[in-house]
Amino acid sequence: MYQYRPEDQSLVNERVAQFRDQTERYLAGELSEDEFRPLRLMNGLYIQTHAPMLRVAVPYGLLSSKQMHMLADISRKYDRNYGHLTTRQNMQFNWLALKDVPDVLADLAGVEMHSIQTSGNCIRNTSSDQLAGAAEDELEDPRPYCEMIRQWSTLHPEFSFLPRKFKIAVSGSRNDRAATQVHDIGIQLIEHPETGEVGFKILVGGGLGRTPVIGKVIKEYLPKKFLLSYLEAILRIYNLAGRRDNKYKARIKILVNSVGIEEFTKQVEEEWSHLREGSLLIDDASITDMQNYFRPFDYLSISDDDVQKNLKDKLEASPAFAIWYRQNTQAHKVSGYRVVTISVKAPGEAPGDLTDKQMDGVAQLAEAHSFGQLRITHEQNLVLADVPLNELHVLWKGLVSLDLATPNIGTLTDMICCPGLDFCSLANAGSIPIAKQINEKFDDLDYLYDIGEIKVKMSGCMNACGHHHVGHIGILGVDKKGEEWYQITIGGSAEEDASLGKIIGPSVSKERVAETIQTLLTTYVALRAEEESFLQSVRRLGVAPFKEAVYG
Amino acid sequence: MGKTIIKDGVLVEDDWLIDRSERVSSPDAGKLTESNRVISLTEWRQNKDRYITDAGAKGLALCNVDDVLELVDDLQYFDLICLDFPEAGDGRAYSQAKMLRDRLGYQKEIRATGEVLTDQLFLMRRSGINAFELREGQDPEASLQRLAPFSVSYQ
Repeated sequence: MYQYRPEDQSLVNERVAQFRDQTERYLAGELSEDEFRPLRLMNGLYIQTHAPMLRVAVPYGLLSSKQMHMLADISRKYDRNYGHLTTRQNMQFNWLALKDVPDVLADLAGVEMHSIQTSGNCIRNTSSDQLAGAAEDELEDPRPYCEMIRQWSTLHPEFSFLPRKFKIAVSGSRNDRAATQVHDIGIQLIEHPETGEVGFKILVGGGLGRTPVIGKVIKEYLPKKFLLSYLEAILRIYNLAGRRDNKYKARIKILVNSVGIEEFTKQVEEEWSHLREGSLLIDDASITDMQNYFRPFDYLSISDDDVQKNLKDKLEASPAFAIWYRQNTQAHKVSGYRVVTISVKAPGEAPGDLTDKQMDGVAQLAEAHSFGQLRITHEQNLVLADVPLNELHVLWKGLVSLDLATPNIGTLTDMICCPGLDFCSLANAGSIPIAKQINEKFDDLDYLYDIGEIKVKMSGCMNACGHHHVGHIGILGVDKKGEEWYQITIGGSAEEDASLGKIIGPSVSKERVAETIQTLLTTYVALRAEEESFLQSVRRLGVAPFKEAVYG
Repeated sequence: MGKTIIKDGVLVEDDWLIDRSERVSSPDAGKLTESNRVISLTEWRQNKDRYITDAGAKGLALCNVDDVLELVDDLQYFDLICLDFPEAGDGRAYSQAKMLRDRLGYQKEIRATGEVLTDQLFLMRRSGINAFELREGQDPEASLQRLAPFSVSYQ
């Protein structure tokens, strides 16, 4: 993974000093609330329902065991012994005291971490594929480009006060696990149709929130060397022309839709023509240098026959291990290795919450079994991407003891869930209690396996942090005269076949959410063609039969 | 006495006469011979020929919706360009500054006016702004100390 050079370290150290100075001036009354707000937001610090919430940046979701131990330490020392995984692959803490935040940032800087630009109207953490570097279907590892974007966007003087927040995702695989079509800018590594040279396809103006939009192609093929200059051109046009009169109309998707993709592209291309050969040009050596940080590990050649036999014996001996293996692990591009998804969706726990002990535990397991690295997924789980087959059983036992081995990856209870009304001051309705209700109703794993792959995504308000529009089943909390109600959509997807879910009908009361999902699933089971997933059934049948079943 | 501003990393007395009313409406253009006058883009468009023949130093105050590319042939006439920050969170002028410097090659003074706050000076400076007329209530000395809190940058 990327290692800080002296200049990277200086930058985060100086950021800590700057924020310490700003916090002291605020606490001393020298900075007003209004003056301090943008400064704290630029460091990921929100004032939430209970206390300040600090969102720590985990660039493209990748972190080392050492960094995970530090997050555990921070949760113990300054918070209430847990942290929450976010859909931007970050970690946030909910119970900090403002006066401690500069010290927290200093602790983070000590392990090459920061919280720069995890909120505010600026370029946020670049997200990516949690299987980067390990995926079988990968054309090229996207992380070197993510890191280039991270550096380019960090404290970018021109783009620190955009009309609204700005999110970029990069995918290097045919299957899009980074949701690039619903980002302000989505970047896909592709081969040039004629030369075969790897470059980028650039999408712009996708996003969720109040106005969900699938991104549009602005550049079919961009040579690698132009990545940053092209991004700069897009951002400049957006910064100058994006709406600032209404924060709900300020995202780039609104601009692109109002001027049209052709006109927007024309403006970007014109600006880019003045930037492309300038200082942002990326030479081959810089690309190689960056790629070197993400070189494949020294994978052992693991004797296939013995290892396979041993694994097979263990799988036969322990049904629980076998179920976990089937559900929570997947193929690795190198034979003898497997990708493990750690479910942070245990029944009864808030989705995506990790205790300090769990953080320390997974950090140790990563150190022992996966080259000391972990990834946070946008679906609020963890991934150990490089586990040798002969260590899977030990790893599983370790995860069981940490209560992190729920074999539910890809099933109904592997939900995306925002913090909701329990923590967030924006929310209209609770999310975590609904997750709990769903877990209680669907506690039969065999039933979940029969239902098969289904992505449930839930947001407590229309800001859509829980990505409900792109859930196979989406749940949106709404406020009706002071009561929590839930609008249900079906048929959304954030992957290469991206689509926005359709509303099935009037919102349902809080008590009826799990029951409504049960009806949707029963309808699916009754109507599905052989081997057809829930999403495929909805696409074939449309909303009507589901609506009929729920509302009669 | 002019106001104290930060220019090129030091505190100086401002020697420009900026008529605030010009930023919203076109003023009477009677005082052409008065030196060190800052005018609006509207004023410039309407009386360009007369201003060009006037020997005095000229400054231009832009709104943050003005298109700087319109000035491609006119920048030579100005010794100062003021960029406006109507709110601290409105970042359009950062792009105007960058385009004036990098794309149009303007080398003279670019000054930030409006909601110019201590903690944003470093971003303004790095966008190409070299003079700062601080908003009321911002301490010039303290601001000067916070002009460059970073010894390194990625851009």
